[in-house]
Amino acid sequence: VGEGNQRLIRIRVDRVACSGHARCFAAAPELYTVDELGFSDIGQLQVSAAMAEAAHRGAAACPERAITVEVVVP
Amino acid sequence: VTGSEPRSRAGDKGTLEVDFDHHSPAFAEGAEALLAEIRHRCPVAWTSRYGGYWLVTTSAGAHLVMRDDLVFSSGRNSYGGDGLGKAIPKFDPGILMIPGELDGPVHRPYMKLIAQLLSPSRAEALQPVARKWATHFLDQVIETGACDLMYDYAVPVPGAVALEWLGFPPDDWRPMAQTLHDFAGYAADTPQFASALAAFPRIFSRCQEQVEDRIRHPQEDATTEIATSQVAGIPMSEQDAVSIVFTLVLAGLDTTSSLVGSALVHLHRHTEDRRRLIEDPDLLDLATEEFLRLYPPATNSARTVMADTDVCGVQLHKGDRVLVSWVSANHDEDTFSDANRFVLDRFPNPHHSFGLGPHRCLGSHLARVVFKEMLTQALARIPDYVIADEQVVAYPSRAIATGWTTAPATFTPGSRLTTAKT
Repeated sequence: VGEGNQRLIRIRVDRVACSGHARCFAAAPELYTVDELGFSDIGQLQVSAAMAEAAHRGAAACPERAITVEVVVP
Repeated sequence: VTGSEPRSRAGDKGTLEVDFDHHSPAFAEGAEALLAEIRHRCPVAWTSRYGGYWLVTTSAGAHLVMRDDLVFSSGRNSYGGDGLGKAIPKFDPGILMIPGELDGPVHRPYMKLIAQLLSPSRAEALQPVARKWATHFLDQVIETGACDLMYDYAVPVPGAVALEWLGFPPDDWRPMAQTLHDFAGYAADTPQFASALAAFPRIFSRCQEQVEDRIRHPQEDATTEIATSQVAGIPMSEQDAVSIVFTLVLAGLDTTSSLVGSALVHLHRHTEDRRRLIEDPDLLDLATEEFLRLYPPATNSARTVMADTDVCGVQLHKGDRVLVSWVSANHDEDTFSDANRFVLDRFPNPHHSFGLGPHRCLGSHLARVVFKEMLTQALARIPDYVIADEQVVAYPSRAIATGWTTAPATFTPGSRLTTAKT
């Protein structure tokens, strides 16, 4: 378990594809943030694997399919 | 197979031709079934109506078309006639609609200006306004035990919220909202449509007067913000400000009204969904997305191809016209499991009802706030409403918009929450 928790999740938001729907923020506000226009402002982000569920939840909500979530292999 | 021009342009894709007309009564009555048949057989199809256009029915195709507005233009050009390129056939809206009819780098500064005015936080700040007007309009009918859920509630509330935000005086609200609703809700040969058509120029002239007034007398409202803003460092012209305000009025009123009406009719016909929403109001966030997916107020959006390109394996050529069906993309089985079923708590639900790409609906955040407030109040104050099925009338055409014209209902009378009678 300890080893699994040390893995990282990488979130990437395609800033060209992001059109400001702010659905990532609506679905997973504990992880995703948006700027004053409603566009994602995270760019690329590495978080603990404990956040994987939230990462996938926010990505799945994006109507533009602009968010990819992947496991980072150390 | 005749050697018609569209077929030769499509190379060996003559088999892609379908018999389809989004203005037809058959489409108005059964769009979902017609579109499913085409989507399964031919995701990018050709129809010869209105000079010919490609019909894109899948979610993947919608993404490809909507993402690049330099290849798939929303702007003015002579292909397929003159007028508004977002509609097939084109028609003349009177003025250049901003930002809808701009593309690429010219479009983005206008888009950002409006996105800022209607951002998630600005929309949230308008929630008390939505609450005030939802309460007000329910108060007008709640003691009688009967109302028309469209004309007494779904139509006036979004109008009051948007037009107060823009700073229009209350005398404008009902005529504007009702004109836009009648325009969509009645066939061209009816007296209601004739009245709406006659009243339409008045909406534009009121937008002009409103902008002129706010330039001279700035107020705390969105029209003032627009009229006194800068776009890419250049002060907003009066003409562009009028176009933006006019666009916001046209886009922002009957769309939310349509969604509220569709949801109320759905919850009349599916009492188990109504019971679940009343018992667990937290479901409203997910339910809102499912109402949007299955009842998109805007049904279709057109583009013009500005450079030869490929959509899902089909070659499109410069000058071709393309119609993306939001209704069909929202039923795409590759994106939505059990797509024909209404699932109150569906997730994920990345539907396309606010469009996609740089031209997505900038009012989406406010629309959600107003819709949720209106559903919450209706379910709390008239929870047992029953709609007179035989008197429910649908929009005569679903070519551009969809919804219910009227929805007369009865319910157990309740008490007003406010006393002021206006």
